[in-house]
Amino acid sequence: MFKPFTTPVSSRLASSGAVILKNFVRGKRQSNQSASTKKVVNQLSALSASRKQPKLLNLCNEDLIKHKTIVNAWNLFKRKVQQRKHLQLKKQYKSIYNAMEDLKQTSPKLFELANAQQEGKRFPLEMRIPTDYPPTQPWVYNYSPKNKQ
Amino acid sequence: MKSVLGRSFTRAYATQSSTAPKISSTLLLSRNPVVTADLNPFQAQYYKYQNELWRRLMWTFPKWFYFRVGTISEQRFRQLNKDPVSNNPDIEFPRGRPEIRHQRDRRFKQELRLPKTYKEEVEVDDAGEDTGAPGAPANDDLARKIVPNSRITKADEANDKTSLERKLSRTLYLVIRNDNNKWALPNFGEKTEELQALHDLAEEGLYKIGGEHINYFNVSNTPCHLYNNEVENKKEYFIKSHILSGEFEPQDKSLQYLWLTKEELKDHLNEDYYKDIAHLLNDV
Repeated sequence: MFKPFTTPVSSRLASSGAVILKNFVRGKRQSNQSASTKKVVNQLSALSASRKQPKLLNLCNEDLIKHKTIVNAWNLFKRKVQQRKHLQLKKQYKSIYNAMEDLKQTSPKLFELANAQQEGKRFPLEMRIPTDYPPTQPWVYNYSPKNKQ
Repeated sequence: MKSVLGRSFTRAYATQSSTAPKISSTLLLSRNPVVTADLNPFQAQYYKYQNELWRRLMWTFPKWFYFRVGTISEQRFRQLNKDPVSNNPDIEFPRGRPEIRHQRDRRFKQELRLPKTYKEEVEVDDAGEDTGAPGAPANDDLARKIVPNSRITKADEANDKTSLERKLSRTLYLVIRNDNNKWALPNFGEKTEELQALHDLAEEGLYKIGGEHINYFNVSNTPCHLYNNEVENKKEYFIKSHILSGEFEPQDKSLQYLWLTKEELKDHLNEDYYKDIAHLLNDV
């Protein structure tokens, strides 16, 4: 709806050419948002789900059974790995226990030394976490003990 | 007081008797895996399946956000990623109508190809003069192609079993050929004059046979296993350690040593001995 300017200031401005040029629109529509608002809208458009979500997976019965079989097989595999690991740890604990019990009988002095508190012992920083691909130099050879330097 | 007396009696008996087994310390020195474990076929298939499911359920890539419309990079992106077949109402689609949203058929996974930041070797050779420097690009160039190192090393190819760089995905254990000309874990006997802690004994022995340029981490002073060696009348207490850097350099030239995985240990070690210590060794 057309709204005539009532205030004298704007009527004076309306009569000048600058304001007419500013409001002139042809072809491409320009939004009246500021640059910062546009930026935020653009950012939100990347985050929002609108028109970006894929179609829902609708598996038929056969596919559903296939999927469940795969997941069951994976769970079984993982369980077996876990059980093997658990058994190994149990055996290792048992063998430590046996060794210490035997050492107690054989040599009480060595038993005390083996059981002593290891103060100042730290986990080594040089120990590496396995990566998918090796470093360019897979092993560090040039090591010399600190007290020898 | 009573217990101390009892202990001294038993010790006196142990040292006097000729049949009492000798105490010795065996070093279980391992090199931990440098790369992740190899996947077995089932694991590889399962990961591939999950990956495909994940891709199918992924949202559409907001290309307008990363490639501003009208720029050259957007043009390159569009050249690589062609629009899918449009949903033309005049055409019949026997395998279902495409559902296009943001230039993606939302029934399928979206396959994206990003513009390369580097030139392939063939391209570089063809246009050697316009790049200025023919051949491989500078190593510090951020846009260079990332080529991961091979998981199979030279030592694997040469089957060098004394190298620490072999079988990077597995735990390796140090074995040496002992006096009986048999492969075994390095074993060091306790001296008669002075009683030495088991881990010190193992350390001293290791430095004696392998040089001092070994950086290792002793897991614990506590022995992790006892093996009763009835042939040599020895009690072998096992000390677990990891080698971190440095190298095992045999001080005696005639000393033979190998770095072996669990499976290879089975072939090299005495059968009973291996059975006794199998649970100490890592499967990976």
